Amino acid sequence: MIEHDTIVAPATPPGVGGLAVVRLSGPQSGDILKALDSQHRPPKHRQATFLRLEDSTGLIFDDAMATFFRSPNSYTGEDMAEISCHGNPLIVQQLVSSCCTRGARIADPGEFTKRAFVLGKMDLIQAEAVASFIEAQSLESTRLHHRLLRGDLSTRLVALKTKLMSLLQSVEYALDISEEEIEPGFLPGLLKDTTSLDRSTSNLLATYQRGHLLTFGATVVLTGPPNSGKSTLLNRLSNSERAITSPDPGTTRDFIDVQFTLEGIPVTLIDTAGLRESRDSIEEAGITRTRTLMKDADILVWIQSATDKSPEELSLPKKPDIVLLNKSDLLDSSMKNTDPNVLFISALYGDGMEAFKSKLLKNLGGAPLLSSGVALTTARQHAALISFQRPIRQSLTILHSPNPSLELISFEFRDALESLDVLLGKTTPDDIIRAIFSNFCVGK
Amino acid sequence: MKHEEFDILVVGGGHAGVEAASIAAYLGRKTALITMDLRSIARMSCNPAIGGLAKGQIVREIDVLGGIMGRFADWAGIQFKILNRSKGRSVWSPRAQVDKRLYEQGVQRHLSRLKNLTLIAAEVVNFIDARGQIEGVILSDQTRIASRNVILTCGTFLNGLIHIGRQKIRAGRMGESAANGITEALHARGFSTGRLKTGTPPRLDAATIDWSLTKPVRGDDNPVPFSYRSHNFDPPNVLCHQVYTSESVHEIIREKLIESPLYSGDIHGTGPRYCPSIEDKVYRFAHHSKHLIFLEPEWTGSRQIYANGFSTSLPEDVQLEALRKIPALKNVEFLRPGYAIEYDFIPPRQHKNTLESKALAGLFFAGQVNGTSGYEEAAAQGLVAGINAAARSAGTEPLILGRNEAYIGVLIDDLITKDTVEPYRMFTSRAEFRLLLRFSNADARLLSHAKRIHLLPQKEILFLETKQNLTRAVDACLNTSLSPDEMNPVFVRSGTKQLTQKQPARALLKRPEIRISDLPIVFPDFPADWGSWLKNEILSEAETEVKYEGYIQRQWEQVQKSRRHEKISLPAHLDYSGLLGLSNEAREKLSAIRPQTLGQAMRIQGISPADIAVLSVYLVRK
Repeated sequence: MIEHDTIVAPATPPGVGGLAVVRLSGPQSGDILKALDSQHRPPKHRQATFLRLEDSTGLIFDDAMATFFRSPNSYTGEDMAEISCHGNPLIVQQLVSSCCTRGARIADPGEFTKRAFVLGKMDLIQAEAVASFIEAQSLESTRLHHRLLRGDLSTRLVALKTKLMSLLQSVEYALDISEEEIEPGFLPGLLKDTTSLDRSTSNLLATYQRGHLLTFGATVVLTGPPNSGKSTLLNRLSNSERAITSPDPGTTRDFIDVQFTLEGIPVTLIDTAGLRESRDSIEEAGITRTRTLMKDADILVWIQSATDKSPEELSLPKKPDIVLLNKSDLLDSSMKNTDPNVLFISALYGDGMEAFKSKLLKNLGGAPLLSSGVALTTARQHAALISFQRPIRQSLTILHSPNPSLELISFEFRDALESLDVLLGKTTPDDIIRAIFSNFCVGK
Repeated sequence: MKHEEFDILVVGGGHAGVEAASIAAYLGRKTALITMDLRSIARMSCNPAIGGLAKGQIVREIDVLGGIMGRFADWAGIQFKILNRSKGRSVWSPRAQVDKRLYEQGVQRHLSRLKNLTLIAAEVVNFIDARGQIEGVILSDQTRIASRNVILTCGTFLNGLIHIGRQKIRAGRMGESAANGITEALHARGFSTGRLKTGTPPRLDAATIDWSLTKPVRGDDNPVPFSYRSHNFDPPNVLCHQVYTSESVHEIIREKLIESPLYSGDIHGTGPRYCPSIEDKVYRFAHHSKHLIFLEPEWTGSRQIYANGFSTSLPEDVQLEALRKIPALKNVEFLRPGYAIEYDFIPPRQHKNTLESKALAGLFFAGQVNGTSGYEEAAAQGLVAGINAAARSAGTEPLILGRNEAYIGVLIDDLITKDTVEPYRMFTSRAEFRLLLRFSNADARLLSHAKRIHLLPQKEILFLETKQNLTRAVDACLNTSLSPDEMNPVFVRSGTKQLTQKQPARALLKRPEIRISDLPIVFPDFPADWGSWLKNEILSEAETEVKYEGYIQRQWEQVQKSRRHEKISLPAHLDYSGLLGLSNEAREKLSAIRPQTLGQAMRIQGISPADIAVLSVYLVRK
């Protein structure tokens, strides 16, 4: 957990670049900054200053700019410094080790954000959003996570909490202060307010599917008999020549994947080895892996040639979500399609691509977010909100029963409150906090 | 005058003091109770009632732990009622109108008959101590009384200051002088003190009230006593009366608000939010067009009527003018005006969970001096302090009640852990394990403690054991399977689903509309001399255990979860200022409160989960 020492780590990725940024956080940040340049004056809050970096022998190894942040007005809430040096990995390494010889230690993954959380600069939801924000694969995803980072989702959850608190207070008032019998309008009012709370919770839960997709993306697996045009489709969707195509069946032996975005959802499209009885052990290995992939896919797309009247009987690990009949250009136009899950396309000429994309989107589900909307993004958030809703629902059941017992409603409300606190990280057990921050990389 | 040495000295003869003295003497310790006026021992200085929401549960707990409040409330009670009947079983709370005179007479007689107890009329002004251990007290005439265990229960007497409008009177209670010197003696020994205020309503002359314009209220027809020792319980059921304030009453109060010391700034102590004065009610709940006032007799046939709900520190003429706007009180006269009192209290964060102070070994604090409000809260602390001073004197284990065991456990843990910013009153919602803390299972919860410490005579222990065996026997009867023939007539009456095959009575009792009395089961015989309330209580408890089974189970799971933290103890001399990573607030509070366990640390206001994480890591590393 938190130490009161000072940590250091590069905040920019390893490799050569114009600049690199090294971050320091902890009470010694200011002293270390001063020690890095013997000429340096005491650092001032939020002021960038020029620094001539010296190693421990006094040898100057780079010129840099450093910005100092005074606690509590920094990212972590501690004294912090951000040093921009030249983007040579050797210089970065030397800077980090110079900080270490002056009392800092190398940060653990996610430790900067963990400190920000522990010192109350952000709640757990905001902390979770940091990693997702940096790794977001689409603009829409970055926008969502920026809103989360800003605290928009937390605000929504705090609003739920406030509402529940006021309901709990009214119940406790009836139990604890008022020595008179329950007023006639009290229970109907409580039922109405609890129902509306349940509805707000459902609305928020409904955002999870889209939020999760925006954060973690979707996997679409293409499969079908050899030579049905999977690779052609893949090249078409990603506008590239990523997959080698040839008229010979079995050209693709391993998976090839491409990324594209659908309404902001990062989609990984995987082209699998064609399924057929193989005579080739390499191809066979490919087929085994294909089956695993198909099982885990968000959407499984079966593709076959439209001219292939009797498709090969192949056992798939699950029923395909979408069936594509390719090479529609070879068909006569009288063919009619009545099944909504079956689409005619021509991967070669690009016919039916828009229909396929909107079909994908529809199958991925989740209402698109408004430009200012927030969404649940992680399984943890979803699970915690479900365990918030469960006791709310239970209290509705009690309220619908004859002679509802207020003390039991209070019990359920308190249970619900606890789930919200876990969600916001107000009462999160240490092990959960540790697990969340271990998914970070160093420097965040 | 020369006094011999005592095992235990109790300073103060209020509800905390009498419980402390009574139990310490009962436990065989040589005890003395010192109070300024022996005639005011056990005085009910405010409302003529005992019990009420959450307080009634406390009185039951006091009873099982060998205290006297319940017994004498039953003896002096003139109207009994279970409050919250419509709101759920754990919040059912017994309350009684009590004849104040009878109550103090009863307690005084009881104390005078205790063989290990000496009553001393004197004023304590200072302490004798050496090397952090209390050695005795010094009286105002400089007499010294030696004892290595002193329980301080001075109520509102420490530098007490009464306010009636702009008028100020130095007093501990109306007509009784304040205690001066103790606060300063405590300061000299490193204690900090704070200031609180409380109030009391005017006492009205019964002959000047038009009773025909009030609404009479009766008690329960089947009264339930507080004490399990009240075997032959047949109390009177006298009437109380209700009236309401009106806008014209509120207008006068609003107009004269500036003359209330609460609003003019004369009173610096903080008052209770929960027992607000009438000027508070009018000011803060401006949208309420009326407030309820109970007119309660202070004793049987009393001419003095307590205006419950009209606590005030307005000038006497304003109190009178406002009350006279109520039709029934058009010609009312006072026997005594309402007043507010400010007093010193010792923030109880300075005590251990035994109520012994951390700073001075052997010095215990109990009651209103710890910043609480209410007779019951005071009595509970007095009892615990008495038991623990006796244990300390005898070298035995103290009594520390868990938050899942008793309201008294919640009370003391809250006192030593939380900031006291206003007089502390118990509420059922303060108990996170409320569903387990029913007044009707106080015996089941606390009997083991009573047995271990010998708090009750053997006869009473046997009686309570019989009661529990019968409760278990009743529960065993619920395993009987009932056939459709037996049950369907009941279900037809209640209009619910009929049976098609046999089912255990236990399952049928879970239906919300079925009561245990609806079940055609022959329950075991109860002893012939038991009152009907006792049989009803046993049946009702068995019923509650079944109906609430799932919730009680969940509540126990929560208890288990919290126990993990209660088991982790924090070193007594931990240097929080040197523990890096703690917030400043945490450092300050932890150093001041010095929690005994991690669980207690978690309940301190202002301690965040992050601070707890720092502590956990420190404990693991250590």
